[in-house]
Amino acid sequence: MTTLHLVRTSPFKDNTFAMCLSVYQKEDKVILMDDACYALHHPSIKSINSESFIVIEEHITARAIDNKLGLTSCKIEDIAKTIFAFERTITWQ
Amino acid sequence: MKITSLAIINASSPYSSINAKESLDLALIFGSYEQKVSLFFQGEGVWQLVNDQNPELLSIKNYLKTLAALEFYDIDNVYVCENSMKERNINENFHIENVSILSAEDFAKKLKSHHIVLRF
Repeated sequence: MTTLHLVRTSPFKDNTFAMCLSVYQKEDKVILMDDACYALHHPSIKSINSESFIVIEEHITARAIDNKLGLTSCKIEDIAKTIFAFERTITWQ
Repeated sequence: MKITSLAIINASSPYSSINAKESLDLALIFGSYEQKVSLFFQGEGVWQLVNDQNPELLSIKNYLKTLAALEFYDIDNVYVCENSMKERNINENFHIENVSILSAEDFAKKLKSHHIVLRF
């Protein structure tokens, strides 16, 4: 089953992001949303497969986070469509 | 008359909870009553100081702009934990001025010099 992971919390605050990475498979996609945007500043971001990760433009811009890794960016209104493209969604919060 | 000093520790990121806004409201209320207030930023709280934020994109009012009004309330002491900044790879590009970046030891010493400590 294809899985979309929605991560919502900062990796500096709890280990939710680390737990997501521990179950994430290469065919999955991960959306970093809300405070998970701060993961772009976390050392664990260097180990990710950047093609599988998506950030939400409004969420990173609101926080003035620089998308230095050039992760795929989408708008808030694209999230629903993305969720329906996957067989399963896991929300990490 | 005994002067009581208040330290407010900001340990929450700006948009995941209302802690940051409530903390700022409290600081301004104490300041308006001419109480001695110092602000401390630690952990996730340091994200509040990052420059060029735009919460209006999240339909949130930009309450962080009010931090610039601190001096009008005689809240001149603003301290940031250097370790928290380094962990998060944040530089000194803050949206407010006169912020003192303190080592963990100095941060603790400065905190201990206050009578009352509230943490948000």
